[in-house]
Amino acid sequence: MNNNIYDSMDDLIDNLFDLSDNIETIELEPEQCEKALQISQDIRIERKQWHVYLQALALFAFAEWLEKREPSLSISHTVHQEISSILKPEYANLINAVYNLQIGEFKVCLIPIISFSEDGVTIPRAVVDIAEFNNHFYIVIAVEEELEIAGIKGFISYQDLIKYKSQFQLDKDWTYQLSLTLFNHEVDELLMYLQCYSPGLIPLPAIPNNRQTILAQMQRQLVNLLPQLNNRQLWEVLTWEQGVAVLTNHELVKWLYDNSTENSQISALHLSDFITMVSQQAVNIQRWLDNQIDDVMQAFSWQMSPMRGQLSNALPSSIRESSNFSQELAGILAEIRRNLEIPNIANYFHQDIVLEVSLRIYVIVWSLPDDEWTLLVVLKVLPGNQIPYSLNLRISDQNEILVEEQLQPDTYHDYIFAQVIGNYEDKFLVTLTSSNGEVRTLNPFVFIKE
Amino acid sequence: MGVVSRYWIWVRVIGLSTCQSIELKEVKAFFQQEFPQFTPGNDVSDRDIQRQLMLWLRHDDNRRQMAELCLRCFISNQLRHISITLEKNLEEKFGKTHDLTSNQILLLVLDKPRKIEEMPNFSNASTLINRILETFDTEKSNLSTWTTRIFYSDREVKNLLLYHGIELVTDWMILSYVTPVKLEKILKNNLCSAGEIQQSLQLLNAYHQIYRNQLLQTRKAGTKSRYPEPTEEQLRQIAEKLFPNRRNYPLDFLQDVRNKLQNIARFIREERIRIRQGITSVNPQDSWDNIPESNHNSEEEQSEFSRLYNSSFDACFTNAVKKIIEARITYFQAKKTAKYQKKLKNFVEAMHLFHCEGVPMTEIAPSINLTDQPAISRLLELKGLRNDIGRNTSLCLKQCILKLIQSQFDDDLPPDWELKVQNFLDKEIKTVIQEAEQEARNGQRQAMNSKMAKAICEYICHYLNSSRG
Repeated sequence: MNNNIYDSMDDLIDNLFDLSDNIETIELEPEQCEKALQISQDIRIERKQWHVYLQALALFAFAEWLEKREPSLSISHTVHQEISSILKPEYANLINAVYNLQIGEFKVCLIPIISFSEDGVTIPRAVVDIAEFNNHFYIVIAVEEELEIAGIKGFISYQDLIKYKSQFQLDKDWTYQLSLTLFNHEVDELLMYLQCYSPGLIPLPAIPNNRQTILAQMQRQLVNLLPQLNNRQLWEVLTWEQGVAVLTNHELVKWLYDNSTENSQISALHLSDFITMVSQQAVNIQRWLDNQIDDVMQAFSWQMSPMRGQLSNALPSSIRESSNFSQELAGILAEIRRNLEIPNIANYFHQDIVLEVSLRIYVIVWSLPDDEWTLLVVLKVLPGNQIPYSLNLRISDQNEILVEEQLQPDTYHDYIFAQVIGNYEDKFLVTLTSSNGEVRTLNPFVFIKE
Repeated sequence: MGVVSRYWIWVRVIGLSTCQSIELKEVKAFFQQEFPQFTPGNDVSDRDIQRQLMLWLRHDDNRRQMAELCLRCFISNQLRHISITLEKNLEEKFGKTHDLTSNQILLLVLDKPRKIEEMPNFSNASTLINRILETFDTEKSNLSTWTTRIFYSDREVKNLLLYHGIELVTDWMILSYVTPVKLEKILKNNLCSAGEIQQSLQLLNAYHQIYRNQLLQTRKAGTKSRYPEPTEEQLRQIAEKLFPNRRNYPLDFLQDVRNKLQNIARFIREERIRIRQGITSVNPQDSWDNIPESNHNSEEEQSEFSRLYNSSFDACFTNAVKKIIEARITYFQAKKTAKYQKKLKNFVEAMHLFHCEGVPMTEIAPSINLTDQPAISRLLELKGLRNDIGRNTSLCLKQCILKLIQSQFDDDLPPDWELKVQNFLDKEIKTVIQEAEQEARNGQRQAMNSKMAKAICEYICHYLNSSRG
C-alpha cells in the first residue's frame, strides 16, 4: 500500500520555531471565539471571512488585555456594543486590519497574524499611506485561535512607522512587508503612552480636502474599470491613486460592497450616476420648499419662479418677470395631472440648457406625508427647435436607476417628465443624454432637515 | 521495525511527577503465544503485528482486551520516544532547552493510573492515547507514525510547547496565511519559472477557497483542531477546482496535490527562516528618549520641591499598588468561572508567599498545585504588574507635580514642560521597578525589602485580612 496519504510524515522538528521574546499571553473566552466566528460568517464575500475572523479575534484579545492591565482604558463595553461599526464589513473586506479604534484620545490599528513565532508582518498600505486610515499606534497581535490565546507581538507609533518606511517592501497587492524587529516589543510601554501621554505628540497628517474633486476627475476611469472587478481585488484593477479615491469615499466603498455579490454584474451606468452623487455638491431640496435661494442653487444656475396666479409680494420682483414660463408649465402640468396627482404648487425651478438643441428643465418639488418628498422633472424643447432624434432623461438614487424616459420626434409632445419619491436618506441624480451621446448631469438633490 | 517488548512494557506516570516503565506479564505471555515467530531482540514487522492486533481489537471478543493492552503499551513507548527526541532536538536546534524536559511532556501525555496495580484501560488512560487508538487505521499509517502525528496535533501539547516559547508551525498554517502576492515573490526569488508560479498560485487560490473556508465551518461545528491535515475530500475538491475536466481523482493524484502544496509550503518556510536569521534589531524608541531633564531653579526651591515631591511620591505609589492589585482581583472575580476563581485564590496566595515570605517561585509552584515555575510566572505576571503600578504612580505624580509647579512658578512654562515632567518621572519609576526586579532575581528565601515588594505585601495582607474577616 504505497498510495496512502498520511505516511509521508515530515520531520516535525522542522515545524518547530522558538519565540524571540517572552510574550504575555491573553486568554480568549470561548464566547469571544464564537462571536468572532459569527461576525465572519456575516461577511458576504466568502473568501474574506477568514480575515474578518482573525480581525475580530485580535480585537477581542486587545480589549481583554486592556481590561486586565489598565481598566481605565478598557474598550470592552464599546467593543461589545459597536463591534459591527468597528469592523465595518465593507472595509474589513478591503483593508485587512482593525483601524481607527479609539482608546481615549488615541487611535490605534490592530494587525492580526496567526503565529507567535512570525517575524515579518504584512500591513495594508491604506493604513500607512492614507490619512483617513492613519493611526497613532500600530499593534501586531498574534492569534492562536485553537489554543484560544493571543499575544501582543509589538507596536510602533505612526512617526516611527513613517521614519522606517524606506525599509518596507511595497507589494503590488497594496501591502507593505516589514520586519517585526522595527516594532517595540516592550508592550507595557504602549500602555504608558496610551495612559500618560497626549496624542498631540504623534501628529497625524491632515485629511486632504480635495478628495471629492479627485474622485470626480477619476469618474470616467473608474466607471470603466470597476465593472471589470468581477470578484477580483481592487489592486488587480485600479492604480493606487484610483484606489485612494475609492477607499476614501465611504459611500462608494459601501456601494461596491453592496453590488459585489458573487453573480451580479456592476452596472456601469448606475456606477457613473453614483460617483456623481457622492462627488458633487448636492442641492438641499428642503430650502426650495421654504423658498430660500442659497449659493448652491445659484451656483447651479437654478431660478425660482412662482406659478401663475400665485404671485406673492414676498418674492423678489425679478422673479415675477418669468411668469410667461409659468404659463407654459401650467399647461404641461394640466396634461400631466390627468395621470398624476399634483398638489397646487407655489413655486418651481427652472434652467435652460443646450444639449443638441435648446432645452428647458423644470423641477417641481413638494413634500408628502410620512416624511417623504417627491421630485418631478419636466424636460421641454424650447420653441423654435426641432424635436431631437432621441433625448434621454434618467433619474437614479443610491441603489439603482429608478426611471428612464425618452423623447422622440414621432411623439405628440415636445416634453417628457419623470417623477420619483424619496425619504430623508435619499439622494437623486438627474442625467440627460442626447442622441449623439452628449451627457448633462444636474446637481444631486437631497432632502436634509436643517 | 523495532523491539517487540514495546508491546508489553507500559510507560506510565506514578504520583505527581514520576515516569515508570513496567512489564505487564500477562500481556507478554499473550503476545508471545500469539506471535511466537517474534522473539525479544528480533526485528519485527510492526505493520503485520499492528494489523493483526487491530483486527482482534475490533472483531475478536476473546482476544480484544489483550490486543488493546498491547497497542496501548506500544503507544506509551512511542510517546516516550517522541518526548525524549523532542527534548534532544530542541536543544540541538535552538541551543537551549526552554526549561522543557521530556519528563514534563510525559506527565502531560501518559496514562496516570490511580492505583499501582491498575492496568491501562479507557477510563484511566490519557485522552491523547485514547484518541490515537480510536483514530488509528492500519490501512493509512503505522502506529508509530500515527502516534507522532496525533501527538503534534494535540492541543495540550501545543499549549505546553508554546508556554515554553516553542511554536509548531505546520505547512497548513503557513499556506493559510500566505497571500498570493507574497508567494509569487518568494517563488520568483527561488527562480521558479513563470509556468510554475502560475500553477502554484492557482493551487494556493484553490486551497484558500476550500481549506480556509471549511476551517471556519469546522470551527463553527466546535472542532478545535488547528490547521489540521487537509482531508481526502478537501484534496479532491481542490483537485476539482484545478482540473475540472477530469473524470475521477484517484488517491495517488490527490497525494500529488498534497505534495505540491507541501512543496509550496517549504519555500515559504525557508523564506521565514531566512527572515529570522537576517534580522537586525533597531531601537524604535530613540525619539522618546532624547528629551532633556528639567532643571530646578535654586537649591532652596529644590529642597522644598524635593520634600513635597517625596511625600507625593509615597502617596501615589501606595495608591497605585492598591489600585492595580485590586484591579487584578476584580478582573479575576468578574470572570465568574470556576477556573478564574481558582486562579484568584492561587494569585493571592502566590503573591503573599513571594512578596511577604520571600519564597522563591520554584518552591511556590508545588505548594499551590501548579506544575512548574513558568506556570507561576504566568499567573503572577510580575513584570506587567510592576509596570502597571509604575505607570499609575507616574500618572498620579504628574498631576501632583503639575500642581506644584503651577503654584510655584507664575511665569510662562516652556511648551514641552509636560513632556519633560513625564520623562523625569519615567526615570524615577524605572528605578523603583528595577530595584524590585533585582531583588526578585536573587531568589533567596528571605523577606523582601524593596519599596515595591513591601507595598505589595502590605496590600495583600490587608486584602487577606479583610476577606477572612
